[in-house]
Amino acid sequence: MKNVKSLVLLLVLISCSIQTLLAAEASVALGKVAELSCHRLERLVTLQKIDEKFLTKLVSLQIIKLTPAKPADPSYKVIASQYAGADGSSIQVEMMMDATGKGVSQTLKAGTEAQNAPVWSDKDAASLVENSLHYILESNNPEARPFASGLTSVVLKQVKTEQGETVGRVEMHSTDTTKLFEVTLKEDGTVESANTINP
Amino acid sequence: MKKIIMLLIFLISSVLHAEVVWYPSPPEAYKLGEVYPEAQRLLFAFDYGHALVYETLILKKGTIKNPKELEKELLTRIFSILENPPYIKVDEGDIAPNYVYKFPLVINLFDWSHMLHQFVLDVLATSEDRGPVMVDRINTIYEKYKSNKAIAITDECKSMLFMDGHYFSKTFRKQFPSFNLLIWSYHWFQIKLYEALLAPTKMERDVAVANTIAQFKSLISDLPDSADFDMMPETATEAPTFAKLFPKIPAAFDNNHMLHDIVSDMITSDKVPVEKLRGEALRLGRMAQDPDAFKVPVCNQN
Repeated sequence: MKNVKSLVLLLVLISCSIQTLLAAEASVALGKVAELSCHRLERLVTLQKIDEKFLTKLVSLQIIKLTPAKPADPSYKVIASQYAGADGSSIQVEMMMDATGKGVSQTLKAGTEAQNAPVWSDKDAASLVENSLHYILESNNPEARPFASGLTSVVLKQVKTEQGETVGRVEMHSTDTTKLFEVTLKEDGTVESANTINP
Repeated sequence: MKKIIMLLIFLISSVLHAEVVWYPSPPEAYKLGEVYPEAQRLLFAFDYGHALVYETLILKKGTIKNPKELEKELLTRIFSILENPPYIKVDEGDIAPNYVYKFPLVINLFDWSHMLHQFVLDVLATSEDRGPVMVDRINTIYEKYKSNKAIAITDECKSMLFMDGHYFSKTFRKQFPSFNLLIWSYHWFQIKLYEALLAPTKMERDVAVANTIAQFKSLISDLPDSADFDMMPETATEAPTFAKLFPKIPAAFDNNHMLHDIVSDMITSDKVPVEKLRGEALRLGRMAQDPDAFKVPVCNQN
């Protein structure tokens, strides 16, 4: 009976190990990694591990797929940048994500305090970026698909429309297409329009 | 005329706030507690904890000068309940009368959904058959849940924006980060139990449930750092076997959990004054039931 119990426990442990190994090889769409990194940024700010200016003065995300040498190595790197300072450098945080897109570590990169960062009256910059990522991941727009799968960068700008309305314009690049994707959002985070544009 | 209007309001309120009754009660009801009493008592403690935090935040709305201090005080009370959790399900009306009054529809949605949660766990914990008979039984329970359209939360997958995309969203997690993570740890525990109870043998289920309890305790051991959730745990991610066997139930649970977070945010946010709470709760409750609101074309388990 004792041997049977041991065998069963061993089988459970082996199956858990196999699942862990398989999990390390799983891949997540780069757009999803970027969206998850927005959540990670929020958590890091809430826990006061990074400054809240990463939410209010966020200007861009850069998403890099890594090649892990070991299962425990990170699979993705996302670099979040604040608006540049007077000397052109930006304060950045490099977030390392595992194969499921979960944040595992982060490193702050020094830069100059953001200058001329736009002020948003409703949702903050990070929320606007996050909403644009939800659009490419969840909409039925076929033009958005290459940006969900192969996203490499996201840049947020504040723009005044011809009607005088302040909107956020998120420009996306992808390895899966030469076109760019532009998502325009109201300050409350609602997507107004989304379409591809030529570079 | 005024009396007629008052009578109508009273009648409507009564209907909205009618006790939710699952009739007849499944023969498996609450038998999880006979097999895994510690897990069951923790689930009862979660109900208590939710009600307590909602009631406290409603009563103190607009007057909280030191959220950190309040959070510490609330956590102390909650942890004492978690260390000695109740043996029976507590009546929310007894702990949180203001919450029950202000959120009549939402209370009913939660009650009905929590019964589904509970009865699914009860079947998983006690079914002698571990194959098609057990699966059919859970599907039968799920059909009964869905048939009560007045108070069933939809099982269509919704975007996380249903939780995070409103004018009042994310307030609770910003003001009370540790409490938010405690609640996400509760949700993780509930979801993980489904997976644990799908282990093929009783011995494996015993080990898996014990591990889940131990992991839960570890998650809440040193909040906020000990609970490394960047976002609300999702059923298909934490319980993939369960999600494959029962593809529609995960979304119903996730929508329930998102509605819990919505309630927390509404109560906490200055953008929702007390006089607007009831109306907004009705609106968001209906949204939780609406299969088209924040619908996503692909669920995350696909």
